[in-house]
Amino acid sequence: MEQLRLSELCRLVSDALQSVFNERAYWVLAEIKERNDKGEYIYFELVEKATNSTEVIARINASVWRKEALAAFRNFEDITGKRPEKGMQVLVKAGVNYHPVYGLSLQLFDIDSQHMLGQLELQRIKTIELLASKSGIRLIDNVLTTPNKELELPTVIKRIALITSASAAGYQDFMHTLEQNIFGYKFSVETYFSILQGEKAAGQMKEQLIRIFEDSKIKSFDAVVFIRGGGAQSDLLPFDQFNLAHAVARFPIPVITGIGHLRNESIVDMVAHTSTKTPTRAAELIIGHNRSFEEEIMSLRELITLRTNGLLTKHHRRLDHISAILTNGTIQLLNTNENQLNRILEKISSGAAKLVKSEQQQLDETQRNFKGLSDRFLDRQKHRIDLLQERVKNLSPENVLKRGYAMIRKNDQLIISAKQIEIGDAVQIIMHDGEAVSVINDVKNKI
Amino acid sequence: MSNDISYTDALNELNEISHDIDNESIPLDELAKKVKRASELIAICRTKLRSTEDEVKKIIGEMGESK
Repeated sequence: MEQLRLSELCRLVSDALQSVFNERAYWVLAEIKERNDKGEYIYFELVEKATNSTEVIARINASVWRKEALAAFRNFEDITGKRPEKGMQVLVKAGVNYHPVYGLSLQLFDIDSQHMLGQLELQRIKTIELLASKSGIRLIDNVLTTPNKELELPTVIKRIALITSASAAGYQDFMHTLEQNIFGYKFSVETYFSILQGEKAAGQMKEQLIRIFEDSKIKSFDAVVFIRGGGAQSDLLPFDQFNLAHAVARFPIPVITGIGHLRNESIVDMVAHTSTKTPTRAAELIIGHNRSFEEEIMSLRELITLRTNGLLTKHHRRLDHISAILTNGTIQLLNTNENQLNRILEKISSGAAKLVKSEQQQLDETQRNFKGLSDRFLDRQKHRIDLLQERVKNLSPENVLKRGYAMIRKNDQLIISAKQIEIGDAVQIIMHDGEAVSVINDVKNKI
Repeated sequence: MSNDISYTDALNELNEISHDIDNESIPLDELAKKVKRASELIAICRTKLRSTEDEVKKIIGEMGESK
């Protein structure tokens, strides 16, 4: 039995392969199972899975170490924004290598970015279509309408649930912008850390979303914010992942994204309530949102102040006006009454004067009349008195004696009755021009 | 007379009195009484207005501080 040394067999294998492949290169479609970077070199484990299954039907290691090849891989990252990673389907240009110690492997020379872009786009379109087929989500003109978008942002965003990675530069940018806002707004940020890249990223983010949902029953959040570091182009794939996008689309708290990227927005951006380009912008959006509320409040306050002052002024004027009317009106009314009184007084005084005058005239006339009357009266009286005097004069004892009458006296007593004398009495007979003495002879009484 | 009258009621009464006085439809016998009443009402209104104004200024001031 012929015996071979192992190295001889390996040489045979090597020769056989050499004769078949002879430095030829092939474009090969494969999925990256693992990636290892050692120094500048990149090592992959490539597989092919059975259609619609996870069963691996081919597996081979591959390495990139030639300068041109490494440049091609860097170029691929620049163009697609993706780093050839675990889980990616890639189209690579490979040559077959055999090494007696390390065995069969591929050496990669190039990687096709167009294929990657097309694949990614296809994947994206498929994911978007799948989302659009879910209840509550619609796709119109490449714009997704989602329940999350229909949520209304709270008037003020204060309590934020933040999904990010502790090491993400964007995390610092976001927090810094939020905390250093010039208006002095305070935020309460609850951080839910997750890895943001690689095939487990989408799953972890979704888990954190579920945790936020559970926590929100106690804590209540105003918004959920996705923040991913800016910096170098890196893998957006997790944010295009269906499960995560679907969870975001249906999430009951408004989702704001600030997952820095340069090319097309991610599907999470498309389904989220509001998407911004960078973490800083996301923070600015939140501050701006709160600011607009404050501005509204301030303008309302100004309006209230203005209206209130106006109203107060109006009332002041009204009171002043009424006060003036009252003062003027009262004075007017008093004047009117005084005038009325004056007029009455005038009437009374002029009426009285007139009355007095007419009485005076009447009196004067009466007086005048009375004087004439009294003069005549006096004349008459005088005349009567004269007559009476005349008559009295005629009745005086001398004149009576003269007319033949005589007076008889006894003992100087005037005799007027026959009873006063008796026979034999000596009586004195007095006449107007002398006296005589006689003695009584007889007395006869009449009765 | 009570101070409990509301601003609006006081103002209405004032308007009535001033209207009556303006129309000279108040008997002189009641004028002094009415004017006295009016001056009391004006005092009440002014006091209420002033205190409202002060209160409003204070509140507006507080609104400014609580920024």
